[in-house]
Amino acid sequence: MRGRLFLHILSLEARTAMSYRVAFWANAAVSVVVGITIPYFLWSSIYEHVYETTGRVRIGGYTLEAMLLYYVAAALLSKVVRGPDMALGISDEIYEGKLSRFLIYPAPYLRFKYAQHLGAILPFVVQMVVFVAIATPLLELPQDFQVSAGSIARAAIFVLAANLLYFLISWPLQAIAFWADNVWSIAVLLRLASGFLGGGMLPLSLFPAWAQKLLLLTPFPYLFYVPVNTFLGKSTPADWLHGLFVLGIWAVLLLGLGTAVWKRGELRYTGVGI
Amino acid sequence: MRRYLRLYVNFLRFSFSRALHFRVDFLFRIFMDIIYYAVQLGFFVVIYRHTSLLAGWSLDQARIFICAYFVVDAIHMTVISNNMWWLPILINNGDLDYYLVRPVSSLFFVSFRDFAANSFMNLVLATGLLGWALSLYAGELSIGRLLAFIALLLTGCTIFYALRVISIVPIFWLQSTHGTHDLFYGLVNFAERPDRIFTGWLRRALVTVLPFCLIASFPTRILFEGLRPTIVLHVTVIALLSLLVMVAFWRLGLRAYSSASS
Repeated sequence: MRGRLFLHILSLEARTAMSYRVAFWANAAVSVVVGITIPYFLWSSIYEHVYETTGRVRIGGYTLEAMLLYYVAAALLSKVVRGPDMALGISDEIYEGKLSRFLIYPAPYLRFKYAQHLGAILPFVVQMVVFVAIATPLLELPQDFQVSAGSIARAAIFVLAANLLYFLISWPLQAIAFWADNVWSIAVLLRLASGFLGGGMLPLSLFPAWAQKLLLLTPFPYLFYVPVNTFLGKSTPADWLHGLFVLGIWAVLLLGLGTAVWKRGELRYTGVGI
Repeated sequence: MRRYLRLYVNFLRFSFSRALHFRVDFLFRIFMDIIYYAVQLGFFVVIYRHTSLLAGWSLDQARIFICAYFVVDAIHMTVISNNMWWLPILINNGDLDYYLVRPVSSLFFVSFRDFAANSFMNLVLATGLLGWALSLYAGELSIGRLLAFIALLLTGCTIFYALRVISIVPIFWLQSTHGTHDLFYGLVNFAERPDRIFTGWLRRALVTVLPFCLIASFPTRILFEGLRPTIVLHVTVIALLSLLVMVAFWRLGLRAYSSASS
């Protein structure tokens, strides 16, 4: 697929995602406000109790301010990594027989979908920039975090790679539609599992040490936990490189798995819908 | 009343027959909810590694609370959710006409016609988890408290249902539920946390005009704090008010219904 066509699909998808502007910004405001309000009250209550009973001001290595900032960053970055729910639509295209029209398109299906996926996250990038611009003057950065131009640049690269990883995890799961009749629940399942195991719901440093070690062997922490900590300047450039390396290995493995599942699935495809 | 019951039995029959056509979806939904339950329970387990109490509750108490929420959520998914998914489509396509001309309440018909038989197993699972959480609790649990807890939990389901319908009705004017749908599912997250963590004006809002904290948190408090008439009265009054607002809002929406597709 030529670069110009890739960019055209990407821009088309971004414009589609922005077509309901009021709904889009309402959704952004609600998800960010709820995503920050609940952790604020939850963790304020926990830190207060822990301080009263033990005198400790840190939990899992985070002060209350640092913990809240982690949630703000996670709420914003995770949207860019994940994109909108069900954005891929691959399972629907298989299920309804719409996959056939892609056969006459001058582009490989996977790259076409990836261009759409990237286009769908562009509005979230705009959202993130707007919210960060609003929040920066209001928030005081805790000393635990060293946000710099370098950490932001490293995080931007990591988030882009994490977005590709999320796409590659979703791809074989969506391809299950070649065999099953309705797989929307798998997208929800991935969202739930990745949020919890990837550090979207809680910083992974709160997990037991053995669980942290185990999780770092899976692709999930590289979706949210590592990019957020990179953005907040909590990881060194060496950690960043190591993270990218592990993410790369997972991406290659998942690409191989996705290709194999897809090839098997295509043999079953009838083009008339299930 | 008997007519409505007979109608509902027919809804059940059709729904189970339809669910059996989509067997893999049936299994996926069960699996999805198992993961959802595991994630929520895991969330509290991780939190309680660092604190002994959360909003005055121990892990055993928080476990009962979250399992109570699972039951409410499973009832919603089984009885209401599919219907609420279709409702905006019926309104936008003008298909609501078919329900308006039937000799039963249109709101009853569009709310309950599709029983999600494939979510029914999750209701069984959620109820089992609640039983398990209650069995782990070492404190005193009298029959009276348990009955009040169950009654209030069902009242919580009513509040959930009313809020869901209220969140959809604006489609009569807006033609899209994108914003209100996201708003509702954003606010539902408040119901998944103990009410006592919230303070100030937000807490006041969450127990009155946006009564998400009354869905599972208040019923659970009855178990641990005893039969407090103020809690019972509070939840009951808000549930009734929510239903009244829902019906009034639905009727207002019907007046704006043009029947033409948009």
